[in-house]
Amino acid sequence: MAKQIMIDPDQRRKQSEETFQNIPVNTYRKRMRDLREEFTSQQLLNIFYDMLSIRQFETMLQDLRLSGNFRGVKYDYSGPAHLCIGQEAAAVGQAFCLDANDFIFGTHRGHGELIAKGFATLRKLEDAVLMQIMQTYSDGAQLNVVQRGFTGTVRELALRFYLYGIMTEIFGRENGFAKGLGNSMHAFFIPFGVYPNNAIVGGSAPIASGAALYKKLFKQGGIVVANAGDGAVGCGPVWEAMNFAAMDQYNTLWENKGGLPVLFNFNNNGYGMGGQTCGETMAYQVLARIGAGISPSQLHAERVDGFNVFAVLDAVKRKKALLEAGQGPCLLDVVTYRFCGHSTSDANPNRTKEEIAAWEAQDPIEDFAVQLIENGICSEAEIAQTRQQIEDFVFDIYKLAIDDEISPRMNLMQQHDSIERYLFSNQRIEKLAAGTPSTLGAKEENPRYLQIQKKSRTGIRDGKALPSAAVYQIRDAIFESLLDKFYADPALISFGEDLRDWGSAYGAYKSLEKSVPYERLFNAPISESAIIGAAVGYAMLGGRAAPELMYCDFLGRAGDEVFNQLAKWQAMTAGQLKMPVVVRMGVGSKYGAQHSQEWTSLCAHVPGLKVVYPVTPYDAKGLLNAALSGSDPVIYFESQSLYGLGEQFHGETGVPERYYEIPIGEPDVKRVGSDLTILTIGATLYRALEAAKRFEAEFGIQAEVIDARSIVPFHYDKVLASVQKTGKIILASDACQRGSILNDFAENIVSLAFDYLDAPPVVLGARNWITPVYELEQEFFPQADWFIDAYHQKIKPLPNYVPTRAFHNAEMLRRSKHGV
Amino acid sequence: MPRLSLNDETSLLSEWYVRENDVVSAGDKLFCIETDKSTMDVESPQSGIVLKRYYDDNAIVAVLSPVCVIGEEGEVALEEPAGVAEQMPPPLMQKQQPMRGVDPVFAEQISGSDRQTAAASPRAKRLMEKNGVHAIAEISASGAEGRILEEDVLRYLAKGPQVPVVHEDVGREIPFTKIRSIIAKNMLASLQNSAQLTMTAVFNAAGLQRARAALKGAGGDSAGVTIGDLIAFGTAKVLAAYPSINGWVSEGAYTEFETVHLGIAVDTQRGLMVPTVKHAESRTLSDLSREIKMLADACRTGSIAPENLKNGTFTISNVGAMGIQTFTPVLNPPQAGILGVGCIDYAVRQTPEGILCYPACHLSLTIDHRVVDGMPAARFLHALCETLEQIEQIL
Repeated sequence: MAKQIMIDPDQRRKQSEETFQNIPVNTYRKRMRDLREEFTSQQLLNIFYDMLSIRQFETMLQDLRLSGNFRGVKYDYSGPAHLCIGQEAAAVGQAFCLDANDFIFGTHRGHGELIAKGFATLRKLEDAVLMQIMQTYSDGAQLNVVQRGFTGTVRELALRFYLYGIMTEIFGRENGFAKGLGNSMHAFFIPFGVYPNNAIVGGSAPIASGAALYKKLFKQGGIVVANAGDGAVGCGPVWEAMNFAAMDQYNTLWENKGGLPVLFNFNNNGYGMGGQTCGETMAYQVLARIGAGISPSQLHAERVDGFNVFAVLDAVKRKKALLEAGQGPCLLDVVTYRFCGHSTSDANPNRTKEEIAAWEAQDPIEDFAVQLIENGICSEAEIAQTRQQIEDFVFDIYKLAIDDEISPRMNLMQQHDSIERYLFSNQRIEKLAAGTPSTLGAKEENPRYLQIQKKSRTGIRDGKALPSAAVYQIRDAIFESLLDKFYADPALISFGEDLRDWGSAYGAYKSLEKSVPYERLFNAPISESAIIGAAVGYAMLGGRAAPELMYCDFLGRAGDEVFNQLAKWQAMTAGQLKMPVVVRMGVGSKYGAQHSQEWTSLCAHVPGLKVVYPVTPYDAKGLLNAALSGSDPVIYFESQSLYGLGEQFHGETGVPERYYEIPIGEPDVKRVGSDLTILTIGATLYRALEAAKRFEAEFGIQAEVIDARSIVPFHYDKVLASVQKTGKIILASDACQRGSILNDFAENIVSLAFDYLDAPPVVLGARNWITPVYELEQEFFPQADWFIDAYHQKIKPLPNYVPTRAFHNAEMLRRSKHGV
Repeated sequence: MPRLSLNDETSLLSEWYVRENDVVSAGDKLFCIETDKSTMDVESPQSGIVLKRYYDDNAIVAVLSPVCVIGEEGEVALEEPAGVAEQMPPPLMQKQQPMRGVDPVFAEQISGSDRQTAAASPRAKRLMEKNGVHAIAEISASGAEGRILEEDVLRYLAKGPQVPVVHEDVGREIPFTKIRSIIAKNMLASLQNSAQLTMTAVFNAAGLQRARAALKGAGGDSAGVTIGDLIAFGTAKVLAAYPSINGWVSEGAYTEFETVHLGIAVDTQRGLMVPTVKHAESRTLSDLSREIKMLADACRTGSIAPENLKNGTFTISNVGAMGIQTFTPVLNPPQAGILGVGCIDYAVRQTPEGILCYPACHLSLTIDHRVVDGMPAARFLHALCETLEQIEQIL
């Protein structure tokens, strides 16, 4: 929202007609004979070489999957083989125009783009640069293998180096560019501008948009290509990404005008796995039409003939110019065809031999070979020689890549942490970009900052709670931390729904826009996938993002981006990319089943995410500071029912004004006791404290209450020390009990403190229902008396106590039996 | 240990008659065994010295396994019976914890006394181990689900080991004998599995008394005939004409008999036993009387043969000697009827001749209402009363 933009009723209700520009379809018809002046013979031979290399590489994989050997040398490869035989011209045409500073993001069918972009880029780099890249990458691990006995040029060495790095990556070997942790569908090589391919269809579109956002903000030059298949147009995140990249605000509200420099490049082979996108599963008929649905620019969309390498080359060159001129994003519908199946296990149940044969008759590589001869670039014999040379080259690399001595796999038996050390980068990096952060005036002039100075930094004075309006609240702690960080780290940006002006749904961001310019703090469309995906892409290029999902209930809308992208890219790149992204999300209340869920357990389940849930102003500030200084993805939960809460645990001084961090993973003892341990996650803390008071007053039981604060990672020391003292523990949170991470905690406590336990750990969660209306929430979320009821039934019967809720074994069995 | 019945895996060795080192001759009684259906003495197959007794009294012993060793002086018996797989006696009753009801009252379900096992928390166990406490059963549990908590062990340690206090009013627990187990099982099954209806009637027993007096006076074979024998004799005769009362009930069918195998309930020290008088309807009174006496004696001495305890088609239970008038006899499955005989006392009745004071004998007939309707049962009881009132006519 922005007051400077008026939604004018007269304008909106006026009769008129929208017009569309014609969409070019295969307009470009030139062939080699028309272009002799534009390309050197070497360039044309390189194009041929690269297309053939892709064909040979894919044929090798096809041979391995189908017959278990390549040129008589056996190798058992049973990993993914989504091959692009037939699509080579589309990949090589695109790569021809791209430089090292142009970044591509790809698909599960990405070997073609991977090889094309790498080969094209390395030819554009100086020998010295190439040598430096090869010598430093993995400490020269790949170079050492491929330069042994090799006497060719640096560029030829680089070709060997690159093909070897890709092939060992696909074969899951430690000399792979990602130590084999990325493999076929996630391979990359960042020094050549090849960012990770993505096994999730359409997965690269939001990420590439975020990368483009980084390029735009940091004026890096170059463009970003989001490669996708035509099947990806069926995926919501792709649409979200196209809109995100084209938002009006880049031209209306941002100081640095222009849409994101991203090319949505659809390699349109007519199939989404098996579904025919023209005639069966999609409705657009001509894919290029969809650009018109996104923006008045129609994303400059056009269809080009992907079997004519020159057509692709021309289109990418023109789109790149548009993108560099700030007229992005762009869309290309590159018609191509894969001769092979979706994968090698595809028996082509959905297409005829006639169809395949018709396309094969127009094979772009054979066509190009004919053109080379016709135009006198080379002879038929030289063509044959090139074919043989490439086959030998691939075979040579193949033998190196499958040799267990030369190219071993990770040895997890000897080096147990080979994978786990890449899950988190665990670095503390205060500034991710050099220079002075772009801000609007001094921090101390921010009206909210000034307002906070007048508040009491503790919520308790003389043992009494101060009125909410007079105290420094949790929302102030979040604001203070972010404000500090916006002034400290030029790379920090934050976006989400209604962050600017509105100040986030519950006012945590209020007035932040007075200090932070649009480019660094903006309102996103209601596109959770694009919000998180863009944050991932932004971080991949070196930025730090703090996106917000208003309610964690909306996590499902960003499920892939949080669980498959955000969580995994550090490990899938063997630590070559960092993921400093702090995703704030609210745990709602009072808003029923789709706005009141506590989903920390879902996030904790997926490896690669840090998860925190602070519920006091002190913890909120300290943990957000730590998260925003780290290098890992952190899911930062906030309770919407507690935003107005003051600090109750840090005496008369309360929350320090100075900057401080709380290490992620450290629980905090909020109340000391000797008879019973209560461990809580999130807002349940306050009900546990109420229960602790009742335990003491009514039964003389001293409860120790520990606030987990972090869920992943988690240090058990304080909890174990407490359980060793008390022998009894109740674990509670507002997450539905089945599958709650607290069951994991309970199991670990049983293992780690078995002999100290005087009763089984008791887990209290919300009921396994939908969250009911507000008035019934006390029957759904754990309440103070639930602790006492559970204690009475599971730990020790209390004298003269009549529980009102069932927690005994029979009830546990009944609930489980009925799945409720 | 002999196998007395095909289905027995074990027998109860109830009593030894010999001790170790006793000298025995072939044919001397060694010990007494009880099976499901009877008791019997086992005699020594050979002469010699009882070198070893492998069991004490009231031991449950696998059939066809050694019970003791008899040999020559100087021979040494094995400490354990050889060559027999050890068989654990099955527990008499499996204590089952009923599943607690779920909603909505919980208070009484979660008390410390609701202790299923002597389970102690790991923490409590650790403390017990540290203090060398083994008597887990002596520690009273205060935890949920009957669990012993650390504090329970601390309390126990503070008090010192507890000597179990025997209160004078505490009862003495007597384990079921095999016969008692059988009786308990049969009685419960009878009441659980059939529809028992009892009707009572009174008849003028003057004729019975006269006949008894006459027989006693006559001496000889019939001098020992009792009122009970006369009633059994009359009952057998009437039953033969009412096969609908004389039969076996099984699942979904009823088997009528014209032959009467009359069960006679006998009170023994071991408990209730019911020997069967075969073909009671065709026996003479003196023959019937003699047979009843013989069978009853065999029951009382424990020498009744198992086959004499089987195949009854109807039962008579006589408790009149104790002054009982009426009661509700419990059917002896699979039989469909049982007659309870009460005492004879004096009753008055208005007759056309005036007030009659007469010896009244009380009968209580229980039938299985699943197969016998009320009126047929009443007709039988009525006919029985008429026959017994005029018993002299059938002697």
